[in-house]
Amino acid sequence: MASLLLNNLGIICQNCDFLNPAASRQCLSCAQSLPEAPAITPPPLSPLKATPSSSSLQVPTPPQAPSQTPTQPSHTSPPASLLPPSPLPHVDTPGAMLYAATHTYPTPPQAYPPPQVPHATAPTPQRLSLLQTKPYTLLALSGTYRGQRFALYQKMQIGRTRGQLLFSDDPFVSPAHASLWLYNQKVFVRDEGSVSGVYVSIPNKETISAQQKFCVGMRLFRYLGQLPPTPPYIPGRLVIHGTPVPVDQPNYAIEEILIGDRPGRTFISAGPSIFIGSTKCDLSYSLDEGMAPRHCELTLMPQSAMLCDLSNGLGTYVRIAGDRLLSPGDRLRIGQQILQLEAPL
Amino acid sequence: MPQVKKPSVTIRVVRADGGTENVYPMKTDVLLCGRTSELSLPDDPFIADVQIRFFFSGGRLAIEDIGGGNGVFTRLRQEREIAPGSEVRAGRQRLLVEAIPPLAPNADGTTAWGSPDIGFRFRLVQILEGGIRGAVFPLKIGDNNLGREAGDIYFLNDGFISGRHAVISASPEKLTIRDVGSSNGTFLRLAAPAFVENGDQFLLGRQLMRVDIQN
Repeated sequence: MASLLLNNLGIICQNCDFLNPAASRQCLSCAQSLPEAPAITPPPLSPLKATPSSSSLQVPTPPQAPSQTPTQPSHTSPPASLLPPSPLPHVDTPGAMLYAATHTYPTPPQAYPPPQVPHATAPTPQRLSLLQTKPYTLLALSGTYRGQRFALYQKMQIGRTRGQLLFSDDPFVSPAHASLWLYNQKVFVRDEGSVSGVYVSIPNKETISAQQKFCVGMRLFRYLGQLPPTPPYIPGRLVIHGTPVPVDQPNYAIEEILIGDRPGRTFISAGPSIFIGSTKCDLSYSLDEGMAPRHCELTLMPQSAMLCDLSNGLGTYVRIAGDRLLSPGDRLRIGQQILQLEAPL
Repeated sequence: MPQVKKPSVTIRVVRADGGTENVYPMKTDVLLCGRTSELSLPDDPFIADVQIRFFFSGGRLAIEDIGGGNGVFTRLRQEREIAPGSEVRAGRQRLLVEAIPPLAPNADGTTAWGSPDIGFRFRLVQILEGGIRGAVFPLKIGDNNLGREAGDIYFLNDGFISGRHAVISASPEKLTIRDVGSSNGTFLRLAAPAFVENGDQFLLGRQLMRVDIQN
């Protein structure tokens, strides 16, 4: 039993209190020799299955740390600004991420690829305070890893081919899509220039600007704002013919965006609001299973709109432009993936 | 060379309010129509000074749009093929046909996430007065019903559109449109000179013209 524990637990350096990966022979922080642990076999990299006795997050063994060129840890000093740490090196495995499932969920369609990362590119070990061993977690609500939880310590990159949380089977996820990081015990998210964008659920109401995108169920929309007014009539000049618009009546538009960032339907309304849902709404999508009968309301204003979520938990998401603070319970849509941030247990 | 006998042509301009028609017999081989032309329609700001030309070609009457601008539309008598760039008028709506580009991933292999595409290849864009783009309706593969209260493309506030007005049939390669018995007709913009048959109707600006041809 003792050897089993030693094989699976990190080793705290008695010299500097740094938490080293299991089976480390030398402290990655101060190069102090560590107590030798029994030889271990690499842990399975498929996400942990829940066990009936597991009542809290299990922490599988992180990948073995580099033994020749230990990386200097960041210690406990917080970053100087809200900016996330510099991008992580190219990593093909979620080795820096500790993950576990606390409940029984269906087996994911695709497990993580086997670890083939050379030591030189292994992620930097994180300095963990003993009081910080309960991390924030990301619960996958849908997509590749539905039902699984992913621990978030200091930083996490999400992408299709680069980062710690990989969605290699999702064509809507960019190679390096988004970053999450902790600062002052708060979680921030940033879109790393992805093609599809990062969408965050709104708590109740949120003001969106013209041209901002938001998604409801499986539908993506862009609020276009107020349409330009009809040009004034000038006697003797040819007027472009079209559908007559009442004078002094502002019209607002919402555009639906198809896969591939292609224009779809555009809906025009004189306001004061537009309802989107599955039944009897201004924009109704009866076949969209992720949409509530009356999912959200958009109260129209010339340069902005008030987006109100009425979905009772299904979520209405807005695309983020810069860094955004996340709260426990907030959800992220990244490609086809929906992840929910959960507070430390 | 034998002289080709030309038919007698009368052009009737139907007033929008349903009042008495204005009748213009065509006395020469060419008749120009516009705000300041022989057949004068001075009060319509949607018509160019010289908008259309009626002329004879081999003994048959033909029509040509020479004013551009808002164009001339001919009432559909049968199913017609349309393409991106075609324009349709139905009721008070002016609709432009556009193509939806095919799906193409980015250079890094990523596809932008969005609403599901059930095979849209074309769409109808509503043109508002002044040339502003209004509502847009993607056209699914198969029949797309256009009407006032129901269907795939509907205009609740347009009393000049019939409940079931027209059908646009889309396939990956082409589009066709046909009127399905509407009261006020479906009109397609003239893209090139065309022969005129007896009873043909044309829409320019707010004016509806009917051409009577008697041999």
